[in-house]
Amino acid sequence: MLLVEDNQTDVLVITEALERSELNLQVHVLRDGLDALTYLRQVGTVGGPPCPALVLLDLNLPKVNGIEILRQLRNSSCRDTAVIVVSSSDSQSDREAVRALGAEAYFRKPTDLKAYMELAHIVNRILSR
Amino acid sequence: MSVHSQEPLPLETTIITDELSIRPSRPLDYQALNITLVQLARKMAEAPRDILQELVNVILRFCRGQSAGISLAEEENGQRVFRWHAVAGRYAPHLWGAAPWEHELCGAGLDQGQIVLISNVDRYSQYFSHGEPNVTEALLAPFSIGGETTGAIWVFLHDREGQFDSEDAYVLRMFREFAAAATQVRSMSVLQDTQATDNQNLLHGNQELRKQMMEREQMEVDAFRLAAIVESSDDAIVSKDLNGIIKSWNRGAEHLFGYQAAEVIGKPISMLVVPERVNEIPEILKKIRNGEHVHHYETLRRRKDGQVINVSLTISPIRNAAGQIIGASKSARDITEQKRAEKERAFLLAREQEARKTAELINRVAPQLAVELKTERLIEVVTDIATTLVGAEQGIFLLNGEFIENFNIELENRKIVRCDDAIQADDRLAIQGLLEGIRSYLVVPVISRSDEVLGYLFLGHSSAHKFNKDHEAILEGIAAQTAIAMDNARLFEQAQSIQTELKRSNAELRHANQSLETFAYSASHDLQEPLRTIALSAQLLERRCKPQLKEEAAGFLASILGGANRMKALIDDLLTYVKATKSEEGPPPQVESKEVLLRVLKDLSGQIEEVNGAVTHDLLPIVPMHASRLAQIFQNLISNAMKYRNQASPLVHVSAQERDGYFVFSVTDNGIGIEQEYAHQIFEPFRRLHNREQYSGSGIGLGLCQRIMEQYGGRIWLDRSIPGSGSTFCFSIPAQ
Repeated sequence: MLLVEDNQTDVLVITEALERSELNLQVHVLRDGLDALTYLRQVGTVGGPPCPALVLLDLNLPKVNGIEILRQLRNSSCRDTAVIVVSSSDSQSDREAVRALGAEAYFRKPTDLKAYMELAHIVNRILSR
Repeated sequence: MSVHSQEPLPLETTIITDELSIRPSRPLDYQALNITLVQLARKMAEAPRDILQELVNVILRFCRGQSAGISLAEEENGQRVFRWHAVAGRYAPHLWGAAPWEHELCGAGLDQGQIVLISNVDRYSQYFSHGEPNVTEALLAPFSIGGETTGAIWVFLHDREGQFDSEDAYVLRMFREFAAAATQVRSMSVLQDTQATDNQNLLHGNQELRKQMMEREQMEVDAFRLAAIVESSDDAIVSKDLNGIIKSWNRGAEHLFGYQAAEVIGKPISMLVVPERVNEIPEILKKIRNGEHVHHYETLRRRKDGQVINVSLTISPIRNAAGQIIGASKSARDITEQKRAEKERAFLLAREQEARKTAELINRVAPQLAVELKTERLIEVVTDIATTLVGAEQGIFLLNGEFIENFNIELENRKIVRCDDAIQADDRLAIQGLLEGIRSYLVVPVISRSDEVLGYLFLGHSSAHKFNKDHEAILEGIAAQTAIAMDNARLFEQAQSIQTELKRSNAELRHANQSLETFAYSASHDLQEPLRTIALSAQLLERRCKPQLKEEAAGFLASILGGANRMKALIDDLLTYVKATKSEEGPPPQVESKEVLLRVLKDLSGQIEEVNGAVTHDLLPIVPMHASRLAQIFQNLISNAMKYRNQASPLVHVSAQERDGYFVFSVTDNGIGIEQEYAHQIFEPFRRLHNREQYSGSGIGLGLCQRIMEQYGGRIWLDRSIPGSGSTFCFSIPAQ
């Protein structure tokens, strides 16, 4: 699984929630938008990494924003990969944009630690389809 | 009446004209005044007989008085009296009444020569102490014709409540020139009619005469037998032979020419002829010899005393029994008086036409000025019109203070100045050489209603004696109209600049508001990120490291978490508030307020049940408001009632009624109430009256409600509150 997230605390909280739900996922973390784009160009090529089973994608990222990454992902060899957008924004236009680009879910980052378990449930639901 | 027993007051103590300048004055409708002036002028041209009554009706309309009238000076049985030629209002029954000069108010006004305000009229004049109704204040404006004060227009007040102000004086000042013109035009019109009757009579007389003459001519009589008949005639009847020698001379002739018969018989008729008409005689004799008649030949003749008179001659040949022409009979009638009357009539007619022309000219100016609302352009138009109307070569409008100061004492007195020959006159204007080549000129001050000289209209001509009294009248008329138009233009310009300023500051405010909203929105949004990080980190710390933490550190951690939570609530509220300031799109739909309330109650059911509360309501109307906004109002008020409750279970009642074009909702609770001194503070955003330990919340609720109601043109207020036993909040929605 690929996690594109720049905020260290978020990375910590999300990975902890996934561990606690015992999903046994291997999480690869990328910290900015440009890294994510570079990674997407390598996947699917000979000798490159395989497509991830799932991408957790923040929107507000340094250098290249999440919506742009999602757009490029849909044009790459991993175009069918499931994507969950994880963002602190509750803007209606963001929600509509990511839905149009085929994101599976939109998870608004909570302030309460326990509420992150909900994200783990969503991940579980999508992976077990 | 007790008033009668009082001593009459001397006039000086009852004149209170100075008070006009200190009394508060009211705004006047200059547009209407302008239009009325034009209508009056039209009326003057169409029906000059009715103009005075028309004028007083108008004066009554524009002044505060309860009666208005025009008094004209007249001679009656050798006494100088004032007669009320037109009266309107409560004094109307006194129309055509007259009072002697010294007892009449107008006499007092005229002696003063200017507008006067008189109080205690009943105490001053016995004529008014008996009059009904009583006169408490009188405002008089005398007017003059040809330099002689001839009348006055006046307004009366009959009860002590009202009083005249400077605007009333302004109206009278406006109309008194008009009154003078109207009086003149009216009297000319009357005169004209009388003369028409006289002429009719004269014409009739002439016809009679002619008939007689014809009859005489037809009589076949001996020339000299005629004398017996003609002797009794008032007309001069003279016979002469074909050489022009006088043969007979009747009494009428003696009377007309001043010669006795004995003095003239045998003398040539030419002795009666004025030198310049001496050629007439051979002409006439020639006609007679040819048997022709001369009818109503108007010419000049000289009396014995040398006076030249106008005569109308009818001359016929005299034949003898054989039918031969032997002489002429001449009948002469003195038409000097008739001639004079004709001349006077023509003169008066010309003057009347001149006066009408002036009034029409001035009135043509009014509409042109009324539409011009820019002072600069107005001045151009006025100058052009005035220059054309008086036939000047040069017209200049001098704005006050440009150079005219101290140049002429008359102008200092705010009067029109006419100079017929600048070369001869010792005039500073000419001496200053400011207007080279000008010999005749007119300067008239343009005076505003606030008595300020707005400027001077100068009209000049390179020839001497180009302007006369009529031109002065035209120019004064134009100046009066100009003053009104300039006042109007000034008001309009002021109003416009205020409007522009308002528009500008409105746009600025709107822009500032928008920036502020954008800022508040993005700030609160951006604040959420770090806040979330703080909160999550604190929770992680608590979860992972709690066992290692000392008790003190755990307390600090709890404070961090508490603070972060409160800050999150504040930011959420701020976002809600900012969103509420953005108006909903489109006009508000009609919503069933009961449905909105029920939905809110469903949303709040948890909170209400928790405190064992209850909400009741009356019949509720359909109102023009977005359902989401109305829901926010209900939600805040009911939620507050559940929160700020007494020991008793909270009860809320919602009712509504339509009042003065508004739907007014009342939300009454039995809660803790609000002290009167805080009644206004509660609507300020983030204002809390209680500490956090007592009641939670950020204090945004009522401020939010107020912002919402303002957007719908309504308001929200604390209608009634008894500390300890409940409050009633009201909000109003315009019913459209």
